[in-house]
Amino acid sequence: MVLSGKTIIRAFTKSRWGGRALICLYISIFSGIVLALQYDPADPFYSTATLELVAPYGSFWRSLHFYSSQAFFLLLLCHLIAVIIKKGPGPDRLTWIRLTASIPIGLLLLFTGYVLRGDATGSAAGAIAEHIALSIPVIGKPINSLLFDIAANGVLKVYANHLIGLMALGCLCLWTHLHRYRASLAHHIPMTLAVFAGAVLLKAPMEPDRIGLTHIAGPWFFLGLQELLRYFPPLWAGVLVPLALVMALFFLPRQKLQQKTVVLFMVFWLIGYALLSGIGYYR
Amino acid sequence: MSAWPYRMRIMPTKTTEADIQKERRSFLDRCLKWAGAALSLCLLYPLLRFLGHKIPPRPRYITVAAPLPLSGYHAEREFILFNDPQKPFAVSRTCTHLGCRVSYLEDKRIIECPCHQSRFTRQGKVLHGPAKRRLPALAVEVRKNSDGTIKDYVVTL
Repeated sequence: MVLSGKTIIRAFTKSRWGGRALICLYISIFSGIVLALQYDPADPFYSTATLELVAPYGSFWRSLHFYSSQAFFLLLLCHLIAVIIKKGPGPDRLTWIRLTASIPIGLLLLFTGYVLRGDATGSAAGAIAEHIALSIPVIGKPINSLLFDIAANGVLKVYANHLIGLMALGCLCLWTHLHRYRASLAHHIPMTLAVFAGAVLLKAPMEPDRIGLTHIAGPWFFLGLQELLRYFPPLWAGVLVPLALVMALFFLPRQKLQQKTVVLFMVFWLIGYALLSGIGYYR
Repeated sequence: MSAWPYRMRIMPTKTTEADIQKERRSFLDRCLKWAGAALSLCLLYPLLRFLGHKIPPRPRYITVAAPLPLSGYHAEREFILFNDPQKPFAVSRTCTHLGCRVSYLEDKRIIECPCHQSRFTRQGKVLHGPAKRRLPALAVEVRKNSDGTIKDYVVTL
């Protein structure tokens, strides 16, 4: 049987991406709370290494948190794509902005998780993020002071934001939506088992700092940005280029006909970013 | 029933002592509010100055025992110490591009950043971008034993 493009799209849009994402979020929050009970932001790498190597089942909890969080973000993206294909933004622009703000917030949650590892990749990613924040004119310093401030305070603020600030902001964005659409674990048993199997079989990445380290590749979603930072100043590569995509998403027109240009822009942006990520990966 | 005739009934036609007192009270209230606002503004300046001030970190001294390895350098988390025959020197390991930790490549005798491959000389001078500024040099004090041999190196951060 040959599947037509329309059949695939229909199947994609009908799939329960939102429910799956929500279940992964629950697993991620639960495993995150378990990890937080042992994690010490004063010495991030030592803490992560001891969690991984010394604490009983520490490796499992780290993996569970890592893979459920990654799955949450990817499923959230699928959910967003399905919504855009199916109906696009609703009549209320503010609600649409509030809901889609969960994408950059989710990305920041993933990113701060990487920084909290305190390994070579995490430290470099944290330092780069701090420099990008500081490159923003006028509001750069307060933003850095609020989100990162790693040079002065280590990962303390990153930890506070990962646990409380960004989570609260995410809840604020999604609360009414989650209140309306519930997800039950019983409907997503295969996916839940897959996440747990991933946590048992795969290790969460950790890269110790070594003398003579010549190449650090950032997290998968950061690779394109890391490559872009090679050619452009931090304000352009780290702030304005990503902001263009976020703004296009926030102000996606309601009418299908008017949507075409903005969706095309977003698709080209993503293709460009994927190409840059590929270059960064194989560098 | 509309409020208009009722208001008319209770509205005094002449200014009474109570009205004067009420007006005085509202004037005093307004004065107090203005004084409060002025005081808040006065407090805002020291508050912003206080919060905006960055307390400089206490200088740290890291001791590296002599002799240095035969490779002629010693790498710590925050600096690389080179054993130059004339004068030992140390450079920061924080890349001036975006803050990643640079490494010394012994075979090429250069310092390189693992994030965007900026390259520097051993003295910290930029050889290749994207970094534009040189790596900061750090003060090194050489402490000697009584017989003149080098005891250790103290690097100030």
